[in-house]
Amino acid sequence: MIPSKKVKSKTIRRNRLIGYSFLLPNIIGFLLFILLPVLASFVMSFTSWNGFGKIDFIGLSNYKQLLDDTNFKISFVNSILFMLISVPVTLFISVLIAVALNQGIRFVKVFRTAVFLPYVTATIAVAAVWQLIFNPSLGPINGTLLRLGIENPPGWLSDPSWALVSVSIVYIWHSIGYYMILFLAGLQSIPDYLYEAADLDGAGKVSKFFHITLPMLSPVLFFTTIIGVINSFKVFDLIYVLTGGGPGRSTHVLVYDIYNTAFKQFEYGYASAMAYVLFLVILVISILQFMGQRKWVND
Amino acid sequence: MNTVTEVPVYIPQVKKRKISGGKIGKYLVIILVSLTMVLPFVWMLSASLKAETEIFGFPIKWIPETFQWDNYTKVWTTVPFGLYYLNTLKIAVITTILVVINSSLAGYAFAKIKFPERNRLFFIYIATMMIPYQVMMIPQFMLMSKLGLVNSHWALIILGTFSPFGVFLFRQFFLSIPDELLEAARIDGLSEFGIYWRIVLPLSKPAIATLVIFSFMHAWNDFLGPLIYLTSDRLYTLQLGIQHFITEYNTEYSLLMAAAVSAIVPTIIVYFLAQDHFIKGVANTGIK
Amino acid sequence: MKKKISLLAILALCMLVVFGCSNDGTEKGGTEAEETKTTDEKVAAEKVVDEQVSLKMAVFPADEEVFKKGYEDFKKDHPNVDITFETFPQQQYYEKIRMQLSGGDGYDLFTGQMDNMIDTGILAPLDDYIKETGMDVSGYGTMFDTFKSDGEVMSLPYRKSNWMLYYNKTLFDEKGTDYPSDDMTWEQFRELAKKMTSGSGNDKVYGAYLQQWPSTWYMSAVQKGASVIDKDLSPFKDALQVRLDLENDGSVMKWSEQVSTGAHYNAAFQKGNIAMNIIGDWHVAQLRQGEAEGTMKFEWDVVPIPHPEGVEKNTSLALPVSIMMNKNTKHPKEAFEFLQYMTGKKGAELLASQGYLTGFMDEEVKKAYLGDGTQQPKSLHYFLETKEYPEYPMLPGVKNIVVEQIFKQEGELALIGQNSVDDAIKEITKRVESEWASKYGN
Repeated sequence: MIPSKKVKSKTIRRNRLIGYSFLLPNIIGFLLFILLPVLASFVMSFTSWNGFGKIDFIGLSNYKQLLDDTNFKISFVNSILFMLISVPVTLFISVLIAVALNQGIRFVKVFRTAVFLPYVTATIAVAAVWQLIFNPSLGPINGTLLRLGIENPPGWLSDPSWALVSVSIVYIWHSIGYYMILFLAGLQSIPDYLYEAADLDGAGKVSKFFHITLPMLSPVLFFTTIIGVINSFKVFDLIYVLTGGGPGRSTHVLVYDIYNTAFKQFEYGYASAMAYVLFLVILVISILQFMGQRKWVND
Repeated sequence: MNTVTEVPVYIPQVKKRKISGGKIGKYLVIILVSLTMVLPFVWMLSASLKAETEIFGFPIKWIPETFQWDNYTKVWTTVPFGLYYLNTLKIAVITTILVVINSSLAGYAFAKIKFPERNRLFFIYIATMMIPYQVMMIPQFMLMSKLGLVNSHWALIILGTFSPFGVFLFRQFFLSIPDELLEAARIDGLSEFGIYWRIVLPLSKPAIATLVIFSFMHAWNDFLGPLIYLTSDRLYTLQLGIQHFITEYNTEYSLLMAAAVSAIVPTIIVYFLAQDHFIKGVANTGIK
Repeated sequence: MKKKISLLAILALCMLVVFGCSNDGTEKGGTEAEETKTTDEKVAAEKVVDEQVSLKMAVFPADEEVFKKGYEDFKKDHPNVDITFETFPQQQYYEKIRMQLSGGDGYDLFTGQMDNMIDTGILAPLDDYIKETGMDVSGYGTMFDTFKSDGEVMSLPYRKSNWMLYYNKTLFDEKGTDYPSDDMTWEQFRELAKKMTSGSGNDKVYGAYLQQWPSTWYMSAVQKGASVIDKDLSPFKDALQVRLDLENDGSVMKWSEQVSTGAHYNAAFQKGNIAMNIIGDWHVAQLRQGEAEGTMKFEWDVVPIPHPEGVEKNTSLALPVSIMMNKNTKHPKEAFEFLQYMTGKKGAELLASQGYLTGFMDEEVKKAYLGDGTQQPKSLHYFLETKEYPEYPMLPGVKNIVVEQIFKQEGELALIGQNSVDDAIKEITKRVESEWASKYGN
């Protein structure tokens, strides 16, 4: 049945009205608290505003200044390093656990809870605990290492070459559970007949993993990589409580630098420019990943 | 990527097989990882009940010599934890109620009302999830201060109310509700809002439960928001209070641990009460 | 597509209007509107004398107690004025009050270093009020001029924050060692600290404690007359080396340990296992409070901080803290009255009796500072004759927060052995200079 044009356009108009009235609160919120700020901070990134007094437009100066701001460069490199350390390790461990849990193991619920528990706890409280655990002279980690005969255990959070790694460890510990659940869901959606067919062909376990599990998991893998990368750029609480960006500037990451510039040094304009660069980085990485997905991911 | 709207709970059937070397290895890996995940909690709990001098003793004593329940009394008397709990609870509860109403309304429009630009709008809305918070942070703050909402809980509540995640969750769930059901109701003369309120929402308890848990947890654990918006001690949330406590009483580790335990217990309880919803929620929104 | 673009354009416009307008309000109309408003309100306030007024004030965490005491006394004469105090952890202090103030309201009064706030343009000039009330400003001495900006007084100081050396008499008695002298070089201080250090683990006694602030290591350079923004920062090399030597001797808690445990001078010294603690004058009040609460179980006293070779004894650093008034306050009269009370003679007597070195100083305040001799510490008199250098030069804006960050980050790398002292100071020089080059067209 093909409805006449008139009726159709009338329904559309009616539906549109209803649709928008359902969306109204969200649209107001979206315009006011997301779109407006996003645009405002774009405009602000061309000013030298400090939150008080008059707004001076200074053109591209903020962006130019970013190019020779060593503080920014260091934060940028730290953010990338943090991502490169934490994302692959997190994904690797969570795939490993998910695959293991998916293969007919007893007490799945207990194990799943154990792995997922850190994810539901507040980072602030958790950071306070890890700070003590990492304590270089008294903490349980170094205490154990010393007992094992390792003479110069790392200083963890107080050693510039280990600090970023230490924060990553806490971050990985905190987020593994989340990714594990995503992978478990992905594994569950792989139909059994694929494995049965492979059994008939006499495929081994390893070959089944690489020829069935991994390809079928690739959409989830792709999704988690994107989420993982974006999340790794957002880590603020942990850095704020664990190291405050130190020692030196070894854990000074982009979001921390932005917070610092905005609310400690009160250079709103400059901080906005930094935030936009961060946005751009995330955007570029996501686009690259999408392009990669076309090539690699099985649909 | 296809849309999976409802995923079963992931407890695979245990099949009886004979025990092999590989299996032992698998158990070993899992047990090892699980232990690593849980040990910091155990350490924290045991430290919170120890005397100050006992905390860093070696070898690690997992069970305190004498249980210092006193640590908890001390923490709760030096810091107005009760007030912090109430503040956090207030923010979490109001945010959660509003976010459920708000997201389900939008999710309904995106899933069940057909108008031409709907999918485009939905895409734009979801795409905002990618914008880092830092981009919006300063203008949002300026806006809130113009509205006179800085240093009140309402700034946090309002910002928490708009959740692309929640909209996404509801849209996905509503898509699984057959259109015929709604059509029948329309023929019966029920208004669109009536359908949403009387038919669709009652069917969506799993989605509501998931969002309730997530929104509650998020509001409870939020740190950056309160850090920016709350200045008065009497308005502090638990996380901000803990942070304050860390900077002021940092040398008394057992008290610090008692405070940390006090802060994380509620979310752990919520998790245990509703873990299936939790897991489903993660899985549902994760797979697109 | 077109629709979307026009929508965006409209939104952008709206936003410009919103921000632009508010901007106009504080800037263009600012000075005139403010003045008429304040005079209006002055008139109004005079008419209705006993109208109930409530004020909000932000104070440093270490000073909250004494301000509450001061307010109790103030309230006797001003029963209609209600003041609530707010405070934040020291490291978040300026960010919190600036954020509140940028929202348009916030605090009627706030304490702090004036240069951190002057760039906001939100400070009310105090000259008219001072003239009107006939306030006695003689007690501020030459310091009075440092609180002027463009010829107008923008704030008044309530404490000077001089540095002192606090020592645990009981520990010295137990060891049978002579108390620290009032004329000690940093080298002699190091020897003494070494002598006083003993034990390990739970029995550890530290010879000295230096809070993990950069000023605790660079003070010897400032004592020589150097400033943290000098182009040539070589005096700071020796200063950093002093702290490093102390750490290597094991006589102070290591920087890395302080940072990773979040150590705090007050709790650390009160614990009783630290022989000497170098910190500001406000610590006197903290220790007296500890005594009152019965948590301290030892005798203590103060002497001037050590000095570099060739520098006169009793040379210290000072970082005056003042009270500022918000020009947008709805009750300028009452706000100023409290400001006047706390920074003027009466408040100074109260603060001095608690052990603070006050901004306002005359014979009676001195007497209050020294007390009747029954309270610890016995040797406060040193601090009435101190020669001071400013800890920071006055720099408008939050520049000295930035400079402090630079000194902290780079000094830290040297203290944890990641960098040599020379390289650390080189790096600081470079960064301080680049801050100036970009911000001041230097």
